[in-house]
Formats: sequence, structure tokens, C-alpha cells
Amino acid sequence: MSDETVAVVLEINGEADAGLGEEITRNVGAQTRTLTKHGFDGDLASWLLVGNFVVSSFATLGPVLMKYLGDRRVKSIKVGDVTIENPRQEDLARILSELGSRGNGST
Amino acid sequence: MDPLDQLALREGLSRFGGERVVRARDYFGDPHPIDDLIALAQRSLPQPLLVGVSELGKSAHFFLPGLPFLPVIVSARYLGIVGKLLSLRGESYNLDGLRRQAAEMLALELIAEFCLVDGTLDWPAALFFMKSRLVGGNLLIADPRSMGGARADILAIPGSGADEHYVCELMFGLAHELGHAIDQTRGDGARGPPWCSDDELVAYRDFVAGTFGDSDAGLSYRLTGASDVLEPDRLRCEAAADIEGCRLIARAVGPILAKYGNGRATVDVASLLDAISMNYLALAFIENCRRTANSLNSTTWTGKRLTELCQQPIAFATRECILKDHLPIIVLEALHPDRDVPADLFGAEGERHVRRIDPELRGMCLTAWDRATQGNKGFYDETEAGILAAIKVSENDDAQMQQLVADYSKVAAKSSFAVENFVCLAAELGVPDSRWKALADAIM
Repeated sequence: MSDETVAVVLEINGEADAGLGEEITRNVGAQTRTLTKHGFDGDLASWLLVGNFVVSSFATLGPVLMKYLGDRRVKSIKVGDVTIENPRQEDLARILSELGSRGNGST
Repeated sequence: MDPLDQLALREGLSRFGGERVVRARDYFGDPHPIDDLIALAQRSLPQPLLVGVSELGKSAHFFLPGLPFLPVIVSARYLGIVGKLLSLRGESYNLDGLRRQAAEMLALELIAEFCLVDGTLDWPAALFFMKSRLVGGNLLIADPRSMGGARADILAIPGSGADEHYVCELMFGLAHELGHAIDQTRGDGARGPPWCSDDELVAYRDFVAGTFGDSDAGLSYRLTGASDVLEPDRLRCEAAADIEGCRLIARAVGPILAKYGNGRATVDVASLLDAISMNYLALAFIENCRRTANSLNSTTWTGKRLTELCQQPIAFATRECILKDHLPIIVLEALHPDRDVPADLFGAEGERHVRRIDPELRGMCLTAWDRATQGNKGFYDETEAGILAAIKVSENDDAQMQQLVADYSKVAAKSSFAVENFVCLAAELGVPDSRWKALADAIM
């Protein structure tokens, strides 16, 4: 198994929720940081979830993200150097699956 | 700072602050009046402040809770916009109708900028910009604090020394953000001022909404009730930041004038209140324009969004009303700390003090605020006019758009400095080449 780590950054619209970070820590064993930003009028712009993940953990991370995100609007996801704006669920699944299989020794 | 904190900070700054965020000390120089405000805020915060300046990012200050330290980012462009807006106060705009015309032009120009820079809308940005040029009759508002190479002007202390207006113009927005951070130290259970229970906030809101009469905002409130922008939690959170921010300003201004005010020994209370009022109105003006652009950037133009847009002025006016009610005690506590003012501004006892303890100061506050509000009402009202005009442009009425473009082609000076400046600004603020070039094709 590879112990290579990759940074994952999710930018999400809506009220920040510590639940995702806690669920990731519980299921994947990785720490995350949640950053929120508000506008002057109190409007929530978006929030970020940032984490460094061992590539081999992507197989576990993928389902957690999928289940959590549901119909929430993800503005972008960045995995390593790759950023996808307005990703569909299948975009997220594909990128995590491909990188995850790399971590498991497949190509 | 552990590696994950570093990563989170880097990502947060680049996404929300743009690609060029520098330390405040490097940007403002050392020492600088802003240090006093930051030092004062630091005393009320458990985590170290990390103040930076976004040189070319979106035009809004922000802070990023969630890390062991607290990044607070000042937007240089926001300071530039405030400077431009407040320049309309000058005597030269006292001609009949000129200030209103300039304000409407500026509102449309800001909506254009926000569509382009904060969102993805090139064509509406071009339309709003064209409309702003038509409305303004090719008027050029001096922009001494623009981004392009005039950085020193944003920071320069006036030759006559720092005064209350200088402090507020430079620091009001930052103080508001720091006010949020201070408010959050109270913890989720106790966040916000206890004097503002839901019932009290709703009472403020109802009272203020009633003053809007049959305007779009007033009608919307009466017919559909309060939208999300008028929810008590949101009003409480923002009002608390307004109040804590003003308290910081009121405490910082004395020491700043003593150091940078060319020998000023005392704070002119009326001038301070005037400056606070002025900058609050500027903030509301700018954010009303931003909300318009954000609404247009939404993929769907829903009734809910339209209602929120209509009611936004009520939200700012409600916050203004709450702030005005509490300024006397803020100022009294800051400038006369030896007087019998309760330490906890937000306690019920404090509220009674506000109403009872110093009627003279209270009267002075109200007078100064009303005078400032009157002085700015012309251009503040034009926010709404600008927004209504913007919505009309956004209704995808092809004939109207074609007419607008045709009028612009005939009337506007396409090679003017204002047009070139807008295109340059788009490029400077990080709008991708393909987009600002398309904009240039449309308006030049």
C-alpha cells in the first residue's frame, strides 16, 4: 500500500457543518480543517473542508463524502493538483477511485 | 503551525483572498495606525491574530475561523471602493442632482464589477457598465484610491494628520470583521447580545420595516413577511459585529490621534459619530450592490431571491437602528472610562444605562447620526435606484438590451479613462484573460 498523501479541498455552499470532518476522522482516521467565510451582510459565501489523506484511504473516504454531500452544492473539489468546478457525484467518485486504486498498487 | 493548518490557511487565502495576500505589516508599513486597532482587538481574542491584505482579490474583508490562529484579511480593493464612494461627499458634488447621478452611476458600476469579479457573468457586467456610463453621462468620479499603482493613497495619513474620518474609512470594515471574531469568543450558547432577544429583534425589524412605507422593501415585507436576510439570528450576529467593531474603533481612535493626529489630544465625538455613520452607510451601499450581483449570478432567479434582494435594505436599516441606539454607551465607555458605565455593554443593566445615564450624549449621537444620514441620503437612496435599474436590465428583455447597447454606442465615450480603467481593473483583480478581453470588446 502506498503511504503517499494527497491534499483534498472541498468548497461547499451553505452553512458550515463540523459533522463531515468528524465523520471523516471517525471512518478514515484523518484530521481535517473546516474554514468558513461570511459576507458583510451576514450572507454565507461558502466553506472549505481541507485534509491531507493517504491515497490508500480514498476507498473509504469516497463513500463518506458521497453519503454526506448528497444534494449539497459543491462549488469545487481539488484533489492534489486537479480541480473540478461544480462537480457531479460521478466526477468525485471517478477521481477518488482512480487515485485510490493507484494507492493500492493498481494503475 | 502544523502542516495541515498551513495547508488550510494557504487554500483559504487563495480561494477567498486571491493570489496575492501579504502580511499587513508588509503592506501598510510599520508602524501604522492600523496596528493600534489590531493590538486592541488582540486583547479580546484568545488566539493570535494574523492580519493580511488581499491586494488583488475580491473586494471584501473576511476572517477565517477554524484554525489555532485567526486570519483576518483586508481587501485593498474594498478600501478603494469605499474611498471612491465617500469622495462623493465632497463640496464639488453639491450641484443640483449631481451627487445622486454620480451615486446611481457608481451603484451600477459596482454591480458590473461584482458580476465580473465575484461571479462569472461577463455580459451582464458589460451591460451594467454601459448603463452606468449612460446614467452618469460620462461623468468620471475621481478614484484616488484605485488599485492601479495608487496604493500609497489608500494608506497615506492626510497632511493635516489622522482624524476620525481617516480612521473610520480605513478601519471600519476591518473592525466589523474583528467584531465578529470577538463576538464568537462568547461561545455558541451565549453568542450575541442578550439585550437582543428574538422578540426585541423582531420589534426593531417591524419598526424599521414600517418606515419603508410602500417602497418595494416595505411592500415585500408586508405581503410576504420576513425573508432569510431578516431572520433574528442573522440580524443578531451582524448587529453584534457592528457594535463590537464600533467599540474597537471608539477605543482605538484616541490613541491613534495622539500618535498620528499632529498633536490632537482629544477625540471630536460628533466627528467620530459622523464618520461611523458615513462608513456604515457606505458598507450598506456596497453590500446592496453586491447582493444584486450575487442574485444575478444565481442559476435561477427565484421569487425567494427577489424577496431577499428587496428586503436587504430593511436588514441594513435595522442594524443601523440597533447600532444607533447603542452608540452613546460605546462612546461613553471608550472615551470616558472613568464614568459609571457597566463593563458589559450587552447586559440588561447596560441597556437601561444607554437610555438613562447620559441623555446629553445620547442626543448628540442621534443628532450627529441623523445629520450624517441626511447628508448621505441622496446617494444612499440611489443604491435602490441602481438596483432596480439593474434588475430591469437583467430581465432578458432583448429589445431593452439592444436599445441600451445602441444608446451606449452613440452616446458613451468608449475610449474614456473610466472604460479603460474598468477593463484594467478586471484584469488586475484576476478575471481570466478570455473574459476581460470579451468585456473589452463589448464596451470599448
